[in-house]
Amino acid sequence: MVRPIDNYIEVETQGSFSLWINKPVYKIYETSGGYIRNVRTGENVGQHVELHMNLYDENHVKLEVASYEEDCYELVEEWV
Amino acid sequence: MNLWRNGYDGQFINDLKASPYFNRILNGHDVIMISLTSSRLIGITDERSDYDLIVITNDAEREEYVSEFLTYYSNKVHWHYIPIMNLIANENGNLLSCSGEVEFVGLSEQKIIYVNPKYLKVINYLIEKKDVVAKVGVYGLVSFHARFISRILRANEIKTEDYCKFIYHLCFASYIILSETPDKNFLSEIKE
Repeated sequence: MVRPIDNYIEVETQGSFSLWINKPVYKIYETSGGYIRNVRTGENVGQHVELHMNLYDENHVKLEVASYEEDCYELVEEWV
Repeated sequence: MNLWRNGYDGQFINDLKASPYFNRILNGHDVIMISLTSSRLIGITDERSDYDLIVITNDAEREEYVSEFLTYYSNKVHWHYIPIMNLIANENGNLLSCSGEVEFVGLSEQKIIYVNPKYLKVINYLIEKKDVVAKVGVYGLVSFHARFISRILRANEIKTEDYCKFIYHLCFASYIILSETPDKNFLSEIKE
């Protein structure tokens, strides 16, 4: 799923006014599913989707990577 | 009834008209009039309040989404293009259009930013009939929120889950339809 999200950027200032223009970024959701375990507690917490989430600009250049508590959960067994 | 103070909006209006960005607001539309709207039109403001502008046009369609805005010092400046027939007929409107029409009751010369001389008679008529425009807006606003209002009336209370800015807009609208002087202190409190 790809959808634009608002991303207003200040482009210039003249006098007491500044102009902000929307340069939307695109959020792409990648999903993975399987048995997830909490590495801190060892607890199996069942299945999860949308484990990873990346942000891309309008030219599809990756801006940042954020994952759902990436350092907390690991994929123990990935479903095919 | 004289409810509306000019406050310090006069400086903003002068600065905007002198700004090189003013033409961006006109943006090729057949503009009839530009004025302040929303909280600054009715005097329910604080130092954080945005500047919302209503750009009344002779266009066929309402342009809801504008992909840019200005800031005036630290305050946002937004503008909304509204075809004049939306003001009068209130057809196919939504929350924003109804709130804008309701607040039209606060229109005065001090709140007007731009007048197209070609439409001076239309503008004078709108100012003369601003109470009517506001009441048409109230009708639309109440219609859009009929279920919300019914839920509150059936419960005979406003529950926490019902707290939202619609209540502020509906309370202001009630003063208009009842021809009462709005309690600005009360409205300021519930607006937050």
